[in-house]
Amino acid sequence: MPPTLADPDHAPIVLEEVAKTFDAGQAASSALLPSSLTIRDGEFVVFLGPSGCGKTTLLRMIAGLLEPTSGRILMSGQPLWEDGRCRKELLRRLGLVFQDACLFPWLTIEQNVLVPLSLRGHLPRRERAPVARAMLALVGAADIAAKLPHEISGGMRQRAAIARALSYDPDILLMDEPFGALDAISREALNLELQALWLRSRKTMLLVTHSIAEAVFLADRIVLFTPGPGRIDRIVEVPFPRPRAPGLVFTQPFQDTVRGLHERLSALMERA
Amino acid sequence: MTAAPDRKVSLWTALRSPWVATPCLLALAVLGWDAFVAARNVSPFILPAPRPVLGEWIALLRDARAWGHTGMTAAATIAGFLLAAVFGVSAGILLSLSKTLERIAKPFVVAFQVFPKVALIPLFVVWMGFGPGPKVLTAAILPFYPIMMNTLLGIRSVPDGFHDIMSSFDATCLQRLRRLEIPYALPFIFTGFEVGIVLALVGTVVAEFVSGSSGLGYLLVSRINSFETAQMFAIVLHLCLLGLALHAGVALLRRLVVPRGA
Ligand SMILES: Nc1ncnc2c1ncn2[C@@H]1O[C@H](COP(=O)(O)OP(=O)(O)O)[C@@H](O)[C@H]1O
Ligand SMILES: [Mg+2]
Repeated sequence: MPPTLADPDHAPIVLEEVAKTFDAGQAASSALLPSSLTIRDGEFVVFLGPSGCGKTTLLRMIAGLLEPTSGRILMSGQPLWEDGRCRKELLRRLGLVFQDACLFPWLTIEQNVLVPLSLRGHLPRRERAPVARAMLALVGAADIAAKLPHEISGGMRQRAAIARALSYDPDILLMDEPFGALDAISREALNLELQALWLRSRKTMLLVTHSIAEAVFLADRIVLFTPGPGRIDRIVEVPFPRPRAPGLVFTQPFQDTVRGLHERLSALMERA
Repeated sequence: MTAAPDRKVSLWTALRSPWVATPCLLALAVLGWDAFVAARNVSPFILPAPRPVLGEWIALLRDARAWGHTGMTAAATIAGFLLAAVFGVSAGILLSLSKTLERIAKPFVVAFQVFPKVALIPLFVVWMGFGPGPKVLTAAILPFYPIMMNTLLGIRSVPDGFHDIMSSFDATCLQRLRRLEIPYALPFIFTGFEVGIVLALVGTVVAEFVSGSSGLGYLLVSRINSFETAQMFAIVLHLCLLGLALHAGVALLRRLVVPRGA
């Protein structure tokens, strides 16, 4: 079990009434109503909800890419945004993965994984290559190091993107629908891989998805979002023990949880 | 029985290959030209037949002075192109830095582009005399715009996701430029170069028409003035091949510089 300590000074991420409004000409539209949440150390949190309910917007604010219109984001007790600027020293505690792997097409996978290290000048050049190999091995992609991104499958590209995000050893991994563009079989393999990675590293993970089954399989807690305008509807604890086997998805308790979430989402969609 | 249709198919396939079709079309055009001149009995001062043109071109290849002129034209073209490459890429990068800057500079850039720049050549001659100066300047000015715009377009085409990733790595502006924007824009920049090298040659030749006493453009005008039309056509052919060679040079550079995946 992950630590359940909810001390906000030590929680990796605390959201205090975080909201975002986009100025679209005269009509300002609310992408996310004020939302509060405490993410615990080493926890696996999943944002679940249909498109357009502000999941990406919230993740981008946590990632320091988008400034909240109001509210505060605290990382280990320190505000991420100050005077309209994101605090860069907190950024290196975050790793980012998107639905598109965003690997540079002119670099090999190994060089791609090393981009953040060489940008930050963390390690002497000679010590970097072994890090890349180790990170790729960690996500089950050791043998594609010398390949170019267009030469490998979508699943392998996502593994490489995760390896790149892990290369500078961040405490928190933020993932926005990382497996959204993959086929069902690759997706299942990567869900297992991600769980194994989480169990080994005990990093705090925050994953956005619109797949209920993926959410239930991976999450300690599911944060259910609702559209029109986007807000947090409820938070659902997922009690299944770890490691969760692929067969879990066929069990009655798993399917009951999925059905419960499905019914709640349907009700929310009807109301919206 | 089965061999005949087979052969038909392979002939058709061969004709569709550019290595066969292109020379065939070229031969057809030359034959048509030859037939036209013979049938209409065209004066060789107006349009010489292909054979004498080819003869004059071979004579040109044997003429050391003609090679001197070729060298002059090529050198001015390459010098102008290099200037355009340096300034065009720099200007493209500069404009990419800020939307505001782009908006302010846009009217000037458009005015510069629509203005018939070759009209300034006499002025360049007044400024720089009859040496290589006006040629190089003209060869630099014509390709500047496409190179700058392609650089700008390439940098603007970087997908947002790549920028987000670089932000999450806390990249500085310079790192973003060197590690993401320039590599991403390289194929675009080289497209600008391929257009640009040909424009540089156009600039050089037009400047040679107007000024100076050297270069293929000068040679061409002097042949026209002495009614040596076949020689003039030979020089046009020669310029055409020079253009192809320069373009091939840039294409080769692209192969060497632009990485495989991009
Ligand atoms: N840059 C933007 N400008 C204006 N509106 C935006 C922008 N980004 C997102 N939105 C709007 O905010 C809402 C939430 O979007 P998003 O966070 O992408 O939802 P999700 O990731 O849950 O699908 C949507 O209505 C979307 O149209
Ligand atoms: Mg989204």
